[in-house]
Amino acid sequence: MAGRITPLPRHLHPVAWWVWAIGLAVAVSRTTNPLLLGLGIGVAALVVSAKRGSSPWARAFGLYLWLGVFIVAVRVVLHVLVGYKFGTHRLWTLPSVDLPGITLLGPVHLEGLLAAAVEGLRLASIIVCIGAANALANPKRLLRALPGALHEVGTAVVIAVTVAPQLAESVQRVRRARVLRGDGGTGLRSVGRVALPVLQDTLDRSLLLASAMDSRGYGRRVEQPPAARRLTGALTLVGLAGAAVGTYGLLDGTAPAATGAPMLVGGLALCALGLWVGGRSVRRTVYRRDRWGGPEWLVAASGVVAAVAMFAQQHRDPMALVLPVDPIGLPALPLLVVGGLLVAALPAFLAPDPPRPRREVRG
Amino acid sequence: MSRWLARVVPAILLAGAGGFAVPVGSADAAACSGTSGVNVVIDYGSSTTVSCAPGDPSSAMAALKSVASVVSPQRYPGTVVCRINGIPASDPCVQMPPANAYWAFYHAPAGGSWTYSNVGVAGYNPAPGSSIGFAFGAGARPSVAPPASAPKPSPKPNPSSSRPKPPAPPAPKGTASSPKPKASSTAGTPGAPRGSASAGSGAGSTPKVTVLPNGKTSTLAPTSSTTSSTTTSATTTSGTSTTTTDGATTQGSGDGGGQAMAPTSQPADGSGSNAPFWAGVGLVVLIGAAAAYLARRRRAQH
Amino acid sequence: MSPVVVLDDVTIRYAASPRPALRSASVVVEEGELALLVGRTGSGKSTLLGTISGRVPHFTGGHLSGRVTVAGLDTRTHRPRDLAGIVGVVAQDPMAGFVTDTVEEELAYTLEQLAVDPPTMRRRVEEVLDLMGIAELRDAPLRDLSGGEQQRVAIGAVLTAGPRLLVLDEPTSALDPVGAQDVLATVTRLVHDLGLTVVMSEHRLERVAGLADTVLAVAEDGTVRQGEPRSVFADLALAPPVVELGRVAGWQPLPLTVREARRAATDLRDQLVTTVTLSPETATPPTHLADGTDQGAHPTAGLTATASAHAPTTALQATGVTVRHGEVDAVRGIDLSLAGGEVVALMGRNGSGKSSLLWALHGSGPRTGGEVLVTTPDGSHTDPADAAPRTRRRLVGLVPQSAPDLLYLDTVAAECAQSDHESAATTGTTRALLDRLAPGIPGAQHPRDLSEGQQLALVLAIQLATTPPVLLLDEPTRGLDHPGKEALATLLAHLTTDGHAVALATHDVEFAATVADRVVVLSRGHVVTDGPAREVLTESPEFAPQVAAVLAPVPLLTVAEVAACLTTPPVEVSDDPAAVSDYLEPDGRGAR
Repeated sequence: MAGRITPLPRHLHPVAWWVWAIGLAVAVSRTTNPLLLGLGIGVAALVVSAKRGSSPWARAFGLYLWLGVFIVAVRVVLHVLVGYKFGTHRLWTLPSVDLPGITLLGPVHLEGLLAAAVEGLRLASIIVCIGAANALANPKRLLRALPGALHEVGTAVVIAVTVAPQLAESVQRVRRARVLRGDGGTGLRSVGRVALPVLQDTLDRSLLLASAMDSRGYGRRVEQPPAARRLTGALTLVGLAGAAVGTYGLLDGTAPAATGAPMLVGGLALCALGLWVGGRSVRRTVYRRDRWGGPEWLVAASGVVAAVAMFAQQHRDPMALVLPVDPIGLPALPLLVVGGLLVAALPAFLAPDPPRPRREVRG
Repeated sequence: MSRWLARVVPAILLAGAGGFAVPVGSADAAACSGTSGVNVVIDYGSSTTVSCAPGDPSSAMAALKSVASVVSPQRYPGTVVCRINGIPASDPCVQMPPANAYWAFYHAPAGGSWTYSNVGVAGYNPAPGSSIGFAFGAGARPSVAPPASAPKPSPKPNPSSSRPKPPAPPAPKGTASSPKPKASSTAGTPGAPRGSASAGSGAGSTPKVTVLPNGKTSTLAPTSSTTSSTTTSATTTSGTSTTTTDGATTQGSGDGGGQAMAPTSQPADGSGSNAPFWAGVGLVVLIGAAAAYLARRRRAQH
Repeated sequence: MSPVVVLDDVTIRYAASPRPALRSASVVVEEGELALLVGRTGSGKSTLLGTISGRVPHFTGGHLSGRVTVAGLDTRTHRPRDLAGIVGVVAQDPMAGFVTDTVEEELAYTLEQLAVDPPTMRRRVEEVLDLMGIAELRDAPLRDLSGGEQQRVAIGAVLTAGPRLLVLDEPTSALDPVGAQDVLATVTRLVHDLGLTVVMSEHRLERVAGLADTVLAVAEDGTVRQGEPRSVFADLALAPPVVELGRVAGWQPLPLTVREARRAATDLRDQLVTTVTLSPETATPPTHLADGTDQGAHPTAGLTATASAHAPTTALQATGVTVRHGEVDAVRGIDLSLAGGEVVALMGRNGSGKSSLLWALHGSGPRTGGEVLVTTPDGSHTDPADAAPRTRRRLVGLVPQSAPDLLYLDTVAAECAQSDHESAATTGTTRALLDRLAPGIPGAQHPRDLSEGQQLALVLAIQLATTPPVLLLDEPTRGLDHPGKEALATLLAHLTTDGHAVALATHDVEFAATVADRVVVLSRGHVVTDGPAREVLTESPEFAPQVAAVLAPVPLLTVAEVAACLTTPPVEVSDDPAAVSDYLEPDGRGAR
């Protein structure tokens, strides 16, 4: 490492990580090629293990991987259970149950099973990419980058997210307490016994937090005339509607061209205007606003490159992006996409390390 | 488990090695007689065919496949119809076909009229004697009424009795072909499936779309050789192979592109072409191992 | 300079409650004062604090009459958020009030809300990091901090906004003695060095009485009395041990700190040194009140005799208990035995392994190694971890830190009936126990509406319904006020009388001094000290109760013992202080 100038450890702008992750997610969402999906998951895992921080969030990436495994398993089980079992290579035959409109079980073919598995894998890859963003960029820091008008909504989301681990803690505590009363703590009957104290606990906590936030100035805003408030609402609503129609227009090839990009852009512009008008009443500043520098550009761009490579490949030869199952065949290895995904792995080596907490705190 | 593996692994390997030919059952042209079989009406836009899927097919898809070559979008294998006998050629058959150029699926009970199906092709189980119809376009019903098969008890399905002409769907003219199949209905290019069908088997009155696969392919895929192993008509007729040298290469445009043969790298010669696949596997393993190593090292630091 | 807080004839009434929570309260807190708020649980202390911060009635609802002015602003027209830059509010449980998740962001949160410009914000955060001594924690996740650190962060987080007034609601109740001292030292520094005005409520008066400039005593009827600490504590039922000692000894002026008391106690110490006879053996310095003649002289002796009538049978024997949570060794090879009729206090700082040890002894928590054997009533030995939960309950009872977790039904009567059912006891067992522990709780009341002490009594009754030979209590005094603790002490005395072995984990040295026979001090999973309570508590500066600190080297632990010595000299000291205090309670605390 001699002579190499390593960037100073710092938190990257969370938006950079999210752009990277969304780029990667978009890329993997376009393919059912298990090689590319595996590569996408591998790239996400590589970058996470190299650049994650030490917050509790960052430790949750493993859970996302397990969630992915679970998704694939569920998809396969559902296929065996209710899926349309096409194909010619029969693996096994289960007794089929004919219900009105649906057939359960029945013969399972390799083609159908593979198709179900890669579909599951595709969804799992997207989830893993989002999990990577979660591990790399604290979602709370992301919300700090929100425009002022959305700040309060953002805070509410933060708190909702914070409640989840506390809820788990409560459940654990109450279940332990149930055991003290000689209750095994499992089974359906114990659900109510656990739920009541937990809900009570959560409610108490929420009220405490709400009042603490109130006392610390949350929700202070300049009084706005009703006309301005209505303007904000109208702009945002119309903008959102426009954006929705625009998105539909873009995705539906049969829609008139005017309902596509122009509507979307117009709608988003209206939304931005509404947020700006609404944000004028919120007076708050941001402590140590995250910088957006070279590493941020690099990280964000590497994710975008992966997505662009995927789209280019789709334009050139879409068949390389799928696992051929009907008939069955080996997946291709489109070098363009492989290159794009490898570019997305660059942040593992080039992004600055996250700062380590100065002290290992008690466990 | 081992038995399962024993069945799956060779299948995958074979698939990887040679690719499979699509088994396309020969179509019984003309409507069914009696209450056995399902009438399959295919409206290509410029022409319409009526065939009979014999017996009691388990689904409309099975019935359709027994009389025509069907390609599904790669995203929805086995469940969605993208091309029937090479129509439309312009659709790459990866995603769901667009709403203004797709195969609309109708069904009709014996003696009844067309109903737009609210069940998918793969999920609909047509009763014997009933009819199913496929019409290419924006969702309109087939241009002909469902054939009334009941009053035709004649044992011999007379060739082309219900068809005014051999269905001549527009040639999949590769890049030139428009999504609207009407465009070149009369062209009758050599690539048209029907042409090959009639040429291929004159004896049977049915337009058998039997074609000989490349010798190499068929020998490499013994599992699918139980029946007349057929691949798509376009392939044979044009005499060019859909074989591509590697996955990144697209199929040749024009004739080859018309039919949805496996899009994969079909090895030109058995060995060596698996290399990209194994290279990909190696890459995935490499990246995963690197990630695992980093994660483990971090954990050790703590 | 104008007073910071002015309450002018304030009455607060909640819709559901028949009596006002505050009744005609008039309070004035001047600039730079530390006002100490005392009162029983549920007496309206929180309401008074909420009134000052504007939460009452803006957040809680209720009807306020009178006028509340904070730094010249009427809370009627200024919501809590409008007062954010003027009043800093710190809650009992710091974790519950954190909005962000790292120290630095938490400190900046209020400033962000107040739209302070970034350079100023940066400067103030750095200042507060230094002021609170938490600079090295700036990037640390809040969840990973110790309780004392969390509370200091919480105070720092409101200090950054530069408030004129700090409102602290029992800031040390969740902390171990060390953490509590940290926090109180910080508060003192803020008052003395920065001239900040502080209004603080606190149960453990012994820690804060000496700091206060003015005392606000909230009575149970909602009236508030304000005055100089010495004058208020002179006749207040709730008073720290030094004050009670001063009252018993008749000192004028009344001492508020150990230092003051120690200076006043010269004569008393001389007197006690001669009257309290100590046997010279170091093994068990205080001799037992065992002989029959003393029984006649002391009503105490009856209880003591009963307690010692039980032969010291081993109720629970633990050898080499190890508990590992992930990579943390919480308990590292502890040997512990509990005898029937004995109260053992487990002490030590947070994270020293007290709770883990209790759960491991009980058998429902993890135990990585070692053996626990409980002597069953029929004389055999069983490992509770091997027993099914229902059987385990008959061997060992455990009351966890958050006792209400055990309650889930909607009436006290239903809980009692369910408990009888669960423990296969005869109908009415639990209720009878409850009536013995805390008489007069209506059966139709919702358990959540009970006071902390009543909830604890109910949980204890439930856990005792199976009559386990061993009872384990985790931080039972948390949230209990002074009378609540006395009731608990009485209750524990009853249990030992019946031959139960009791182990309790506690931070509360005064309570341990009152109830414990034996004290075991843990540190990082090891036993540091294990000895008779009197010996351990008088010798350790960290764990010495106030009376012991004042009277050292006289080995007395509680005011009740001192009073007993003064009224009936000469006396030998029992090492069963619970029994003494129990006996003395009727006249010793007659003022209440």
